[in-house]
Amino acid sequence: MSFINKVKEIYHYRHMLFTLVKQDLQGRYKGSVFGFLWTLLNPLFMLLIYSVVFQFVFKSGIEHYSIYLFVSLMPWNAFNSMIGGGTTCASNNASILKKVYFPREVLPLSVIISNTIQYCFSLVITIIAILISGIGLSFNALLLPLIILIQVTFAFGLILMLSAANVYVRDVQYMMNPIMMIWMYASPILYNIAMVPEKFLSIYKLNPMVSILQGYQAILYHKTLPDFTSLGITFAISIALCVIGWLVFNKLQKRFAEEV
Amino acid sequence: MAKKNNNEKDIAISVQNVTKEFTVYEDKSYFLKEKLGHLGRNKKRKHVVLNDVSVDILRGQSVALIGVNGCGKSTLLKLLNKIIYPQKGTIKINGKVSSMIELGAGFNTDFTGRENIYFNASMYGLGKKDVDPIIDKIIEFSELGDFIESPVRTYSSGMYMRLAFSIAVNVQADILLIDEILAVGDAHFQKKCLDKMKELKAQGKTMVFVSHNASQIKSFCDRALWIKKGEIVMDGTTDDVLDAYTKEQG
Repeated sequence: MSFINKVKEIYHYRHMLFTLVKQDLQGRYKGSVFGFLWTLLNPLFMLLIYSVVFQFVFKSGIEHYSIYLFVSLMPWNAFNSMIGGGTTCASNNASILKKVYFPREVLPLSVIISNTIQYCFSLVITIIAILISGIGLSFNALLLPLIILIQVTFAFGLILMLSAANVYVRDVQYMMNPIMMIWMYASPILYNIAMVPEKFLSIYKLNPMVSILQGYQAILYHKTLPDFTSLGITFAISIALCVIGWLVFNKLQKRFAEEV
Repeated sequence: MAKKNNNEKDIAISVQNVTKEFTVYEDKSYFLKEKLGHLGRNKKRKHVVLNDVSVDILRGQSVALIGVNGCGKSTLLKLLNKIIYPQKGTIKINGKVSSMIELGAGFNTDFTGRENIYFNASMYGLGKKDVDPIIDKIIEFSELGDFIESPVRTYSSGMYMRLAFSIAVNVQADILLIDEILAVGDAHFQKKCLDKMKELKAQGKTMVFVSHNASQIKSFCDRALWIKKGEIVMDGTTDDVLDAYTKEQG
């Protein structure tokens, strides 16, 4: 099926997509008293803990370290749950894959959308924290949607491949745990890029999450413009990844109902 | 093929030279270690379920697929519904498909019956605006009454099937694929289902049935296909095909 027809078909199934997103957002906190408020409470508690721990217990060389951490960790957590939820989105829906027809791309798309919505809520807390800390906001923060878009595109490309591969070989989902952990330490989250030895820097920067996280740090923490060149390269890589991901997904999804 | 020279737009379902084979694993492995372990050892074999099948089904026709268990009827139905894909050949479908292959698939049991109507209908491409005008009809047909506001996990299997059937017949599809499901609920509800199916047939919907119930097939279908070991061995009026089939079965 051509790409245009696929887009049309997904549009036709948009109600299913929205319902899946709604179910994910509602279902996540179903039965809890605070419900969706937990989306805000979780990052809030995280911020409180970091502020206390890094103010009084550990001293780091980075100014406003808890804010630095927060600005970097929030996007990472969102990325982490996109990859985690995305990898298993097809294999966990065996019952509907076996019984109902719908464009299978709806499943990874719903993971991306619901996680992006959650992430945007946690960003509200981030921005409030930045204001309270006295760092303040600059107009550069208006570039936030652009960087979110790049991050989401990157994650979507990966999820297309990972979700399809996981239907065939379940090792993928378990392999992702250590990979995500290594990836986290290979990205400037707990430390800043100045601490990376010069000779490793060129290899270090091959990680697309480096330019994305530096983008967030630039606009929210340093209040400067981000490095548009590296963000542009990352965006191009992300789009290429989506194209390859879609080709892989499209090929593998034909046997989902048999393999899952 | 009895019918040739049909106008392209009169054809609801066109199946051309479709071959479907399943890989049968002696021991289905999900994990890489097992997959690697199985390399070299010939633990899988190919099983041809449908072999070079071609058939055209016209708009408004009701067609029964008959044959013994494992002959490929349900596989053909799943292929028509695009749940699985053929290795060879093409399948063209003109119109919206409502599948009653597995009723209630995709119900989220933590959500209420009403919420699940919206979700299930969304799998047929219907939005809230499309469902709102028909939701009362669906609820009334299901005879669930106040239970519609309870989570689906509290339903009995009969209630579950009634809700699923009510949605599937009310989504305004052009083509209905039905796999042995007219055994829904009690005698009263079964009769209601049959009446509803007749009503849909009268409206000119295309239907493909898989059933072992000869009397149901006779009362519904104007055409029957006898599938034997993955091939269509007979295609004709329901009475003729059923007679030949029962004769062979003894």
